[in-house]
Amino acid sequence: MYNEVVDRVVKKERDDMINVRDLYHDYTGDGKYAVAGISFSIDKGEIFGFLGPSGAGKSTVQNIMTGLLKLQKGEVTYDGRKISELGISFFNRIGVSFEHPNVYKRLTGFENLKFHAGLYSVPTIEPMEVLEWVGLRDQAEKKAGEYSKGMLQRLTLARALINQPEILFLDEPTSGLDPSTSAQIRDLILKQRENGATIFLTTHNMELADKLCDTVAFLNEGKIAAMDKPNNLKLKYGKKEIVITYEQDGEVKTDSILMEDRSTLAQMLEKVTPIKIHSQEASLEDIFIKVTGRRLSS
Amino acid sequence: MKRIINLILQDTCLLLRNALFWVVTVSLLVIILSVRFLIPEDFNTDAQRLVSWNLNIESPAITSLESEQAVLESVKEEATVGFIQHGDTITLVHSGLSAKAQNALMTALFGKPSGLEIKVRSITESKGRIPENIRLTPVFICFEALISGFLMAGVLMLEEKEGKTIKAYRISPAGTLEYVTAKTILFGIIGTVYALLMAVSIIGFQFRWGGFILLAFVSSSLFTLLGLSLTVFFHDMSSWFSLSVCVLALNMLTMVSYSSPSFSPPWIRVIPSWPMLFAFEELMFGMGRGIGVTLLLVLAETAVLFILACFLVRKVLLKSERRIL
Repeated sequence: MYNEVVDRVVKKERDDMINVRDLYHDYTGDGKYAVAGISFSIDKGEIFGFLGPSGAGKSTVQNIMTGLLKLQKGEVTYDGRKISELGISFFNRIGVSFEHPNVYKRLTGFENLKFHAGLYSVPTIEPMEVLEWVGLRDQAEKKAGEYSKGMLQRLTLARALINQPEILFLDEPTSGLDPSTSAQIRDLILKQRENGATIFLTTHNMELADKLCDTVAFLNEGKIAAMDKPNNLKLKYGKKEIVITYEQDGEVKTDSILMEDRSTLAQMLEKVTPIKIHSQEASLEDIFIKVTGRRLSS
Repeated sequence: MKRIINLILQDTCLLLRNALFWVVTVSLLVIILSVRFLIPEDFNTDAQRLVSWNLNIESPAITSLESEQAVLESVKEEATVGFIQHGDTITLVHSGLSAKAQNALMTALFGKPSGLEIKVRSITESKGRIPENIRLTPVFICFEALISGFLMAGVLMLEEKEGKTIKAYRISPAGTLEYVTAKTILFGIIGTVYALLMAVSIIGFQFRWGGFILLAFVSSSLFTLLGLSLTVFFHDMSSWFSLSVCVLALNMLTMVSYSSPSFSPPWIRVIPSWPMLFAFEELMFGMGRGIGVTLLLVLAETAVLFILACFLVRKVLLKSERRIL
């Protein structure tokens, strides 16, 4: 029985594309850890959401995973191989979209992608095609310095996709975008997943995480406070409610009743004439507040 | 190699859209025009050191040396004016003294001809007088054309730091060697083109091309590598600029030796521009000195700086640990 469990765990670790075990990082060397004891695994083709407010340690974890920060304590493996053993060719397999757009402002959108593509030793996508994906084809010949914040964000994302990465690290990919462009980027991320990419999404946008992620981890003060599939978290921490909107004494009023409290619901329906009735479940933000006592957007 | 060419093309695009590149290029053209049309051919009125062998006339202004060979060496290496006497014949040996200056010197020293025969011998290979304005060309090559790589590579690196584009480079498969090599090649070429432009515009095509191009490329690379090695420690243009002014001012001290070659103390000889100045003088005017040792020295310095620049770029620029939250 014990051997079966061990075999299952070993097989699971082999199937996992990314494994992070007991990660610690101390910037100042005085024992104050920016992240402490972080562990998670991501399956191939999964979208993993890393949720937390600014300063929670999200970028620290991402920077360690991408090799931008030195691994101090813990372990990060890709397909079972330690990050320290991967060598520089590892960067052919990943794409990183940074929260703050960092492109060459004196180069055009097209040139930014063309020159970045030239750094890879794997086949890359034509810059114009990627610019089309992010809705910047018409602005391809414009200098990046003349782009709006949202356009720069999209150009940074396009650059992350140019080498057809197996693993995508996206840091606040919809920050500063209007709802329509956000939806376009969401679809693009889902398309990358359909094409087999594994995606590590760092965000404090719970709506985006809810729509995209297979698994989410709540990060608070350098530690994972909760981690599961969004629906499981909602079942575990959320309360399903019925929201009734009705008119009484010439006023429109709203009341919420727990779904399992059927008697109160029946009494209510006898007393008033409802205008609208709908079910409501807890959002990820509600759950985050419940688990950590902090707001995601703080 | 593909990555290096790609980075060179990227840096070329960035440079062509950078105001500093055009400022340096325009100032180069201004220098060429000044040398050709504004600086007179004979402006040096400083007293030159006089040396002699076997000269019957005694003067406190003339230092007597132990042999004819010593006089010739002194004229060649220290740009002194020499007098060698054989019987009734005095030979004036110089390395680029104008006819006017020669006559003035003769009259001052010997007065009216008194039965002495006076010969004039130039030790420069071209045998001709080098006008003072033209003789300044190596100075402008060393302190304008070749140091352009120091400034421009530094500015590009600072822009990459400030715009955080270096972070995007760090998550690509390209490494330190490609980064340093691409910038060194690009600014080595730009410095060489600038130096050639100056030389051809000022003295024409009569100089030793092969050695000139090789020395210009290696020297320009050396200054580029020096610029990269220092810039890694800076995050903003203003503090970097202060240090750059200091470094470039120190590098320009060797001008004193060039205008008065007898002043070449050991400390000035270790400044990289010192051997370069005299090597360019040799390559352009044929002073009769060899440049092999200088070339080897500059090559060795460049190799050492390449290793240092790679180490610093890797350690400070590409691998630095920063608090990113």
